Amino acid sequence: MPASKADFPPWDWKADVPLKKARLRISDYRDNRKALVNNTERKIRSVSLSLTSMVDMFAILVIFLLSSQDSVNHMLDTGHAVQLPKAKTSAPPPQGIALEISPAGIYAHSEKLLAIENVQSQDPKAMSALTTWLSKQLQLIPAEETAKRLNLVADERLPYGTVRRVVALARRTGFTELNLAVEPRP
Amino acid sequence: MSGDSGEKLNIELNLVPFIDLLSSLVLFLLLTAVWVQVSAINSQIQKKGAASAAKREDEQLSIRLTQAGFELSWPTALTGDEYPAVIPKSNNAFDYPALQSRLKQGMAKMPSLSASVNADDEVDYGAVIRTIDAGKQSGLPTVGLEG
Repeated sequence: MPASKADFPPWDWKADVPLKKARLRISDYRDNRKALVNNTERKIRSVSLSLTSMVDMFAILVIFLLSSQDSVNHMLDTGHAVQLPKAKTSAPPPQGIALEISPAGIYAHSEKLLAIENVQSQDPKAMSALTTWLSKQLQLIPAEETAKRLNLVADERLPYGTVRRVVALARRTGFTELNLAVEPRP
Repeated sequence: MSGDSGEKLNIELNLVPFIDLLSSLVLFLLLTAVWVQVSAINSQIQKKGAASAAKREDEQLSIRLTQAGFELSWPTALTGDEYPAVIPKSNNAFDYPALQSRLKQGMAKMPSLSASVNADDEVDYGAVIRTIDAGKQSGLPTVGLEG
């Protein structure tokens, strides 16, 4: 059957509008995308930090802290709220056995050996823990070392009688020299 | 620098992990650092009473801190008003400048002068340390602590 005129309706341009819209949308999307990418790049460029100076600063800080770490090794443990006496004539303390006398008690490497009441009591047995500890530490000093040194970190507010009992015990144990920890005074 | 394709080669280093590492290291070092500077005064331990017994032989000065002030026991070679037996407290505090000047006088006459320090039980340990410090500042070669 031959085709009739009704089979070929006239071209309706309005029917193509959705297609045109779709094309526009795609192009809009592309334009928007380009703009977005450009803006992002611009933003990235504007917020990029110069990290080199920051790295320089960190490196200098690390070198300073590492070099001061060497002197930290010579430091004595001054915990337990010990208020050190001040002195002008002082030198860095040598590494060695350290004993800390605070108003609360006697400590060695953060381990409490005695309460301060035991030191102040007249009973010689009250200080047996300290005697044992000092004897053990003395054995650790090489025999060729003539000076048997003890680093004493004591609070300046303590009565001297308390410190003297510890010093006397150290002398009786066999120590010959004391390094009395102080805070340098200008 | 350009390759065959003509595109520029990006040679920028990625510094972010390096900064992370450095900042961690700085934090660790700051936390482990000890900020209180500690020094020490070297002192010989002397037997209590040994100083006074040996002073004539050893030319040793004995300094005792009491509630009244400094009690000084000079060697026999150092006698006179320049070498007082007592330096009283000034304004209820130990007179360190006066002690230091007397020690300097003693050192001028007897360069081999050494000292031993002792104190009453009630005297603060800080005062004993300041006395040893005054002795060292005066030039005494040895300042012992009686124990």
